[in-house]
Amino acid sequence: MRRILLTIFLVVACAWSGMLLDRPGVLFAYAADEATEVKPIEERPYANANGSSVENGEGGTIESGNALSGKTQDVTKGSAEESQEAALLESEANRVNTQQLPDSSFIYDISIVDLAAADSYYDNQIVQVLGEVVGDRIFETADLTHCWITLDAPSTELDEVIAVYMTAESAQMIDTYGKYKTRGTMLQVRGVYHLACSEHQGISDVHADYVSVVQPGVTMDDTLELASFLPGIIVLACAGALVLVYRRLREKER
Amino acid sequence: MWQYFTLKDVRVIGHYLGVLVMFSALMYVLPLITAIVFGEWEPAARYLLAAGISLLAGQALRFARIQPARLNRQQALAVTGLAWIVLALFASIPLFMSGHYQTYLDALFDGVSGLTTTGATVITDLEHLSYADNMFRFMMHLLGGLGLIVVALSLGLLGKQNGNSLYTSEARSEHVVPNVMQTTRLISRISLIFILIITLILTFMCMIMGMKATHALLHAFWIAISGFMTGGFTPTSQSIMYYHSFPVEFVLMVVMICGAVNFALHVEIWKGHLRDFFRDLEIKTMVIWLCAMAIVIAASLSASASFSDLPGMLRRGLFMIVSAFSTTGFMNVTSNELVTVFSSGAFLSLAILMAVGGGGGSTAGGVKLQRVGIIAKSIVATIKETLAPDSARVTVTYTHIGQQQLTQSTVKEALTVFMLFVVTYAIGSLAGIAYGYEATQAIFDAVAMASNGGLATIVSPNMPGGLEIIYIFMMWAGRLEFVTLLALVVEIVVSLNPRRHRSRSSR
Repeated sequence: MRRILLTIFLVVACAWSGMLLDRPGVLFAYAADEATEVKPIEERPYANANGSSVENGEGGTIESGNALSGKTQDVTKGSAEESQEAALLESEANRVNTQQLPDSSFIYDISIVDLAAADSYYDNQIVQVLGEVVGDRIFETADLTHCWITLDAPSTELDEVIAVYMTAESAQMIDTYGKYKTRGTMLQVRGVYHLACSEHQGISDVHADYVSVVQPGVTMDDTLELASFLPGIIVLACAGALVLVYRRLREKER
Repeated sequence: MWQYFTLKDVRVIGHYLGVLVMFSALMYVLPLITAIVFGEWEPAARYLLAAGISLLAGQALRFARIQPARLNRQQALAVTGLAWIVLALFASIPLFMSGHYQTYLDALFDGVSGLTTTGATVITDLEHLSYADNMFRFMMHLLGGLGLIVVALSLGLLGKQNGNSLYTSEARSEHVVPNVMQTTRLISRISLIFILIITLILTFMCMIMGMKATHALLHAFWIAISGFMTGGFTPTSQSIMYYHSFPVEFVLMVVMICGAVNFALHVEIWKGHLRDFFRDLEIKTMVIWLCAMAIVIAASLSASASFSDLPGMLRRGLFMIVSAFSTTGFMNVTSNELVTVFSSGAFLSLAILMAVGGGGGSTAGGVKLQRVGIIAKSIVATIKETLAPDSARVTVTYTHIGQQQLTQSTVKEALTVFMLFVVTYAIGSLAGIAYGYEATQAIFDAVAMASNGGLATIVSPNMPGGLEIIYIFMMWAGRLEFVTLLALVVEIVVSLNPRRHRSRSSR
């Protein structure tokens, strides 16, 4: 029995080492698989704003995107025969569509500063922005189910904001609106960016599809410290004294 | 021969500047009260200190001359010219201490912009500015819009005998009522009544939109001041777009137009002289000019894909036209849209509207419609003279607060100021281009600064310091309509040149 098991083990080991020697690329293919996570298009959370989708081939995933999504190409080859592989590569689904429009459904985590200076390239694209809610919730008088909020770029010297149009229900997640000594709720908003929104007579906005709270708001105390008023009181007292001296001198001159 | 300042002149000027600096402490009162009411203790301490500094420095300046003499025209020019920059220097102290400005120069830029009612800002993190600081920004607009001298005269701070020379040196000449002090009081009264009515209307609108009562009241008060004074500061960095409301925009359009109309003509309506109002040269010029520019901008916008639809064009285009013409600087689009979505034709047309500006004797800046009307009348007169027989004497009349005859001196004054504005626009544009900005944006911003329009695309906290200084001078010169400032600069240069003193005394 031991001999039989030893023989089987040796046969399997030889076959395995022979395969490795014959096709060393397999090792690198596995390594590449671990480094690059590739999702089939059906699993992607969003299609692009125009509703178009990108076709992919079966068995292998070929992804072509714009500059932002990055050109990623991954070829996964199993241990199937070369003939099957050749057939797959020649299949209809794997042909390059020269009429395919750029897929820009992967503009993630764009900053508000970038959006504030955006050109037509970003128009009607899905974006995901992170920002602090500031100011007020403004309702449209004609439609109380939707409202406007303002998202402020977090921790930047540039004072850039973006108007976000969302449902009143989504806005209820906001616990604090940023103002003096108050940091508003940090929101992550995913939605369609419009450079000049046709629905809202041409303003730049983001129509939110998905809203999540990243960090709740914080109110800081502005405590009354009488010592901070001291310089002002001293200067005022000096000014008052000068006024009295001036009046005395003026009366003398008269 | 050039006039120069004697030591006596300097002492008198110093005294009256001191009076104005002391008077500017009034600007800090309402921000201080606001800070106390809303429990903003750090700003409260800051505004108390700022008021103290102004009173102390102002009183120290008054010691330059204990018994003030009556101001002559030359001294009045100097007091008016220097008052705007000296007060801005003091106003920028609490602004800089707020921590919302990267440098003191940035704070000074906003101080000058606020007082000259330009409305361009380099503030950072405006959304977290305290109520008190915001209140101060709009107090600067209120004081600057009414005119530092006008307010000081109406309060009787500068003496009754100095009224006329000071009043005319602040780019004002029309007397609504015979007495200067009464005129200034009437201007102040009309403005305050107007602002209060608009505040009530806008508060109601803001509350309907879902804003809290206090927030709504403060926002309404601030944008009412900014609109009527044709300033342009707003409590949010989104400007008027923040409110997402056409009714608010419509009310503000009416306010801006009223702010851009000569105060003397407000009185005509007040008195019920509607016929005189509509026959006035300024009103006629305004109607023709606005109609012509609206057609040009509508045609240009319709060429762009985004604003080719009628509702979008009417809402955004019309508001921007009124904002530019009145030199207010409110926006209901983003500044990025001005550059990327607006056609270059529409963009430059807005600059032309700012360049011409509103009515003379109003809070608006720019060349002024009255001067444009007079230049147009002058062209008509020249054509008439060309066609008339040699023996004929051509006279051209126009209606402006009564029937007026077109004289050589009126045309000369209008053409001089017109040319000075054009030259300043050109210098500012070249400066912007030299700093590496796009030519169209450089022209747009140069016009916005000198006309006190405030619609700007270059102005930001990171703009070069050199350009910031040039823009500060442009805002200052534009508010004084150049003549006062140029006369002051020439006199200072002559006074500092001892050779000229000697040549004069030897004669």
